[in-house]
Amino acid sequence: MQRSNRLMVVVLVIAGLPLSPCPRVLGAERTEHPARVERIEGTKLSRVTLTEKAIERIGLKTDRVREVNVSRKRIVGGEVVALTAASASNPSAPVPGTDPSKGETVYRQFAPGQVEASVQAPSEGPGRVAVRVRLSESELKKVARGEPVRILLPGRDDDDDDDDAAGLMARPVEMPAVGGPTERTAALHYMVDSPEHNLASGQRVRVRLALSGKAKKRKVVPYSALIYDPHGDTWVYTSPTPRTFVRHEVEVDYIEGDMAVLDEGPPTGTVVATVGVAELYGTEFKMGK
Amino acid sequence: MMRWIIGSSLKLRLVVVTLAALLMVFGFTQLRHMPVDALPEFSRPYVELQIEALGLSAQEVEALITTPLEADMLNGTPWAKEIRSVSLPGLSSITLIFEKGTDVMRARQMVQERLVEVFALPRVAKQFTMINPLSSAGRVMAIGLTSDKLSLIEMSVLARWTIQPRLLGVPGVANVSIWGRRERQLQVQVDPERLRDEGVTLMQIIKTAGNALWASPLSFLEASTPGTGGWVDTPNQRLGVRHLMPITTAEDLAKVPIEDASSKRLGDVARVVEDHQPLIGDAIVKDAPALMLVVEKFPWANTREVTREVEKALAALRPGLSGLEMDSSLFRPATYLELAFDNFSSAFLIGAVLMIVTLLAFLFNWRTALISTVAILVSVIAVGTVLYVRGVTINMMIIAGVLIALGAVIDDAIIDTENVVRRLRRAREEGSRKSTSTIIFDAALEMRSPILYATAIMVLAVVPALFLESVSGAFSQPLAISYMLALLASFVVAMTVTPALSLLFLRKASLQSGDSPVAGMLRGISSGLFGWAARTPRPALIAVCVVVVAGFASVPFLRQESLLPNFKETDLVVRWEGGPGASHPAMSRITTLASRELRSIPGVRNISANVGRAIMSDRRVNINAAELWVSIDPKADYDATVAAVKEVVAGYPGLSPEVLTYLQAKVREELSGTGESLVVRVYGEDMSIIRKKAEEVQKVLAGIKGVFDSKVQYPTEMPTVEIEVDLDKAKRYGLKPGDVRRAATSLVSGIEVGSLFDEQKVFEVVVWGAPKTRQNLTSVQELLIETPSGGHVRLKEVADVRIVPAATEIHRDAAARRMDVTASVRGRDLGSVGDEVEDRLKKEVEFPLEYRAELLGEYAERDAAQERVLTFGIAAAIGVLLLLQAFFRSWRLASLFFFTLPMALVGGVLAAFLTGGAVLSLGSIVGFVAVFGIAVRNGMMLINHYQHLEQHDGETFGAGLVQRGTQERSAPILMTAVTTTAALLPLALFGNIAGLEILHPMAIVILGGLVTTTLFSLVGVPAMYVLFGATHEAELDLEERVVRVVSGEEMGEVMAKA
Repeated sequence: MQRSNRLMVVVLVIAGLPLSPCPRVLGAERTEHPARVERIEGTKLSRVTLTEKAIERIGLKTDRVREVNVSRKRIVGGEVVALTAASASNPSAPVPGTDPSKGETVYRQFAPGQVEASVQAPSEGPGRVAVRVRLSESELKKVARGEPVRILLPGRDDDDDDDDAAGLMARPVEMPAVGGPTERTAALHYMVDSPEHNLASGQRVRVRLALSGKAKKRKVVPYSALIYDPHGDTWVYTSPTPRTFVRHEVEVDYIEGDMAVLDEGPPTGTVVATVGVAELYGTEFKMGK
Repeated sequence: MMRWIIGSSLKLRLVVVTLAALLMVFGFTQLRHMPVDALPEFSRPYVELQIEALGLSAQEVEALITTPLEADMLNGTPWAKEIRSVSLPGLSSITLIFEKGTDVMRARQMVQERLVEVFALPRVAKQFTMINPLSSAGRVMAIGLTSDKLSLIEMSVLARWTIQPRLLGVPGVANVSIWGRRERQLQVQVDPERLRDEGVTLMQIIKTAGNALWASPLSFLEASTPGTGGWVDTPNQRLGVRHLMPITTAEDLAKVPIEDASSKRLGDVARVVEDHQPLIGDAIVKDAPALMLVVEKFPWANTREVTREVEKALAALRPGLSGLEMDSSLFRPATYLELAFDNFSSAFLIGAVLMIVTLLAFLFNWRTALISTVAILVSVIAVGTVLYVRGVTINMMIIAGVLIALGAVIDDAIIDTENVVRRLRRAREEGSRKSTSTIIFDAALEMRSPILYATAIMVLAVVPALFLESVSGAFSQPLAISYMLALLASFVVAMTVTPALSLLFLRKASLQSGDSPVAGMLRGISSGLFGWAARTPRPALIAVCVVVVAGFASVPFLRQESLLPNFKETDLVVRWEGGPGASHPAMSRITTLASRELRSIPGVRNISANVGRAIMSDRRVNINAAELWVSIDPKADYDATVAAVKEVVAGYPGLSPEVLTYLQAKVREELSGTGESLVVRVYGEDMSIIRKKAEEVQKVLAGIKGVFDSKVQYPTEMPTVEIEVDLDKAKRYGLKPGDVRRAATSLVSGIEVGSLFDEQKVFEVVVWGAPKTRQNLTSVQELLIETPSGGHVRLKEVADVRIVPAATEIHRDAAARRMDVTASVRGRDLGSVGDEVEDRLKKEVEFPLEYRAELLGEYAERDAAQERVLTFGIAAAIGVLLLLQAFFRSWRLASLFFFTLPMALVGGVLAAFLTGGAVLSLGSIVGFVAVFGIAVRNGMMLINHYQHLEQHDGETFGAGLVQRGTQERSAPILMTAVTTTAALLPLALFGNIAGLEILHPMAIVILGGLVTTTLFSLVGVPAMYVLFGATHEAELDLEERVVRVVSGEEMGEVMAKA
């Protein structure tokens, strides 16, 4: 070929032929997955493992399953009644060793039959008063008899409802039924401890009483640890190791405030997730399908 | 026809030139203010209805609101193609989609007429709205409201009563929704246990609170008829009587005595406070709960203008709203548009300057350069004027269309001027007696005939784009139409303005044959090339074919990106969903955490978020869905910032995040449901039967060859509290189910008892249960219900309170419940699979009455649309071939030309490889169209010239002819290539920045393609012609020759030769 021809061919080939494709290599798009979900053999549950960074990101917090003394309180209405000329009975002394200031409720043993007396007028001071509380049959069964109550004065804010120390202390007494209660209600009577009170007979007050519980010490978890599955079963996420989480079924007796009292649950002391549970559930649900 | 036009333009040259000048003035002054947006409207015509019913469960919304509306009122609306709805807790959203081309206003009227009966719905729904027509990319702005001094409720009052009305008045604003709105309400919060202890019933509270006010929606209260004040007429004067409401605050309401227990006051037995309604959604600004106003526009409004006006309105409001901070930069697409506009304005200006400089360098004569420049500008301005007159908003697609045609526009201007100059020079050299006017006439006409064919071919090549469907069609049609307009404009200009200007300027001018050094150099190189091709045609043609084959072979290596443009908007949206049933506190918490982390990424200017939904908003989701809006600093490194955002977001487990730009999100919404290749939709009423049938359908699908991954799309179910009254137990207490419901709903959800009018604003007064009565499942189970005998009973004693799985998003289609079975198809064509599916479903699955399954129409439609495009594509290709044959008068030549054209495109492929990482995007594809056009024109001009030389100039067929012909045409071919390169160079060099996402890859492909096109024209075509162009003279129509002779065209030459 002539030199000009060769030149032409070279020019053409270079200009026309595409070079072998070198697709740009994309850098690794992401580091690791924030979560890993593995089925646990033999069960319908999965183990969710999060990375450190993921835990930090969702602000996950944990706490332990506790056992505490709980008693449910209920606020009911009561009516102030004047006492007849009969002496009030003496409730037994407080159990030594318990300290109300620590937030533990003082439990007092009240042997059946120990206090039975007719009410009598006190020997000194202005009239002692009692408060009559009318309750339905079903509710009567729930009240922890023999427990002192607190009388909440009218005009107080709702916030006082949760304050255990608000109001006047009153102890249970036996009083004959007055005025024929209606079929479905019976009445409990409590005598106000302190002689200084501003209660007038017939006045309506509110009474905080303790409900009887099934056992003294109950397993509790924070309300924010609970998650409901579509069928209504309740679960918490236990954390066998710091970054893994496994669902554990619980049975909730009741929820009060930010505490859930359990009938059944993981052993006391188990670490459970309390903040970020929604995200754990979402992860298990979406990735474990 | 063309002769008449050219002739008249020459005669009326002053008129033509004046008009052209006026057009240019108009263009420079008016067209600058034309509205510009990123994308054309791409959604189908639709009407949306939204009905709010706060607190109502999804099932009840569906049963009480959605189904009656769909079935009785909306089914059968004229022109409606689809009725779709979603029922969420508290919201019914019904969308009617109309046939393509329906006038939205007409459609709305039809729907409105049918809604007259809406009052017949049960009185749970509070707000009934036909949403205003919205643009496809509806959100124009998001404004965050925060304050150190004002509470969220106070801010909500200002937002609702001051800011929202003012913004709705801005022209172009269709809707302003308020996210995180906490309505100011006076709430009488009751604890039923306390009521019991006080001996007061819930009904007493409701009556007291309601009757204390002037107006109540509850028909059983006296307040529902407030009465009028009246007047007193004295003998002299009329004294009107007005009653002033003494209750303005919660304390006032608390003083009201209770009906039938007047010794007690409302505040004694309940807690009367100012608070807000339960929230369906929230907004997070500056990492804390706040308010966000989202402004949406009409389809015909212009984003930048609306943004400007809204910001002006906010500035006017600010002095009166001290203490409130309004931030309008949370989401502002106008920022991107302004940036984009700036970028491509500067690219165009620089390109224009470069183009003029190149023209001067080549032509070396200011007059001819001027004529060419004016011709180009007038063509482009003409297109702009047509669009202006039609009121069209300029968008990226239209600009791309005009730029694709730029090569042809430049070509038109150059070849005409060049031919005129050449002819004039020759005439003067020969000392011809012809008038300048006649020479110009001949020169112009000579060019027009081949260009007419070439233009027809170029138009035909894009016709299939007009038949694309849905979103792709919405994008490709403006592109194709502006392309065709530009071609047409430049053709007309070449027939009118160019000859007129030439006559005016060149009549007396001296046309030195001073050649520019640049032109001379290029000509030297190219003459070597085509000389070689003409002399040794076979090797040249083989080289061409090799290149073509290599080009085809490399196409599979190109990665095809989505054909929908990918704009570098400065606003990203991160969409994520918590697990099913995630609550407001949970979503708020995690969204705030993410917001804080994202804010710390360099390059991120601002973060805000929407959780859940707002009244009359564009999101129809539950509280477990959230959107985070990431505003990127325009000066930051865009790609790096986006990558960092994606990485952070992916690190949050369990939230299935998606990071998109706003336009991408809207396009995806429009296309949703058309992703899977095969969808069988089972319609019916009872979900459990639908589920069973869907599972049967899935089994049938799994057995069909070519069908993979068939699965039933079960609706997500979440734990829901279900309360069912036990009639026997309730009877013992004298209770009816309705009594139980009304009591429970008032306590858990609240009941509106009246309205308070204060300073021209309206507030609700609500009776609701105290927070602790509805805080958890236990408190709901133990709700105290009053019995007729005056006693009380716990809810769980008369009703079964249980948690069951229930869908919280109920989708309906064609007025029926539905479930989808999806599958993908591989290894077999959709058509035969679809047929077999339909056959087997008919035979193997039995549907009870009112149940059916349908292979979704969209799939079949898409298939038909693709077929249509393919058919038109093939028809266009055949048309092109026919046109080529008609022009060349040789089948051999035409087919050879047709099949070697792809060589021209190969350079574009190469360029795409080298620069874009081998990606085939929308921009690249339109670049190929441009290059194709130039290749066609050049080739046809060349071959036409060869034929002309042979017939009229008496050259004998051979290498010499081809060489001479190419020599004479090489100048304009090279000039066009270099000038177009200069004009598009800035677009290529600026990189893939905002505004140039389509234009940059297009420019790259065109620049690369121009190289190979020019080579093709200078090497391939001559070689081809030498080998195959012979002996066609005999095919010339005898009649045609006679006509030519008679018309005097050939007279001169014939006489000269004779």
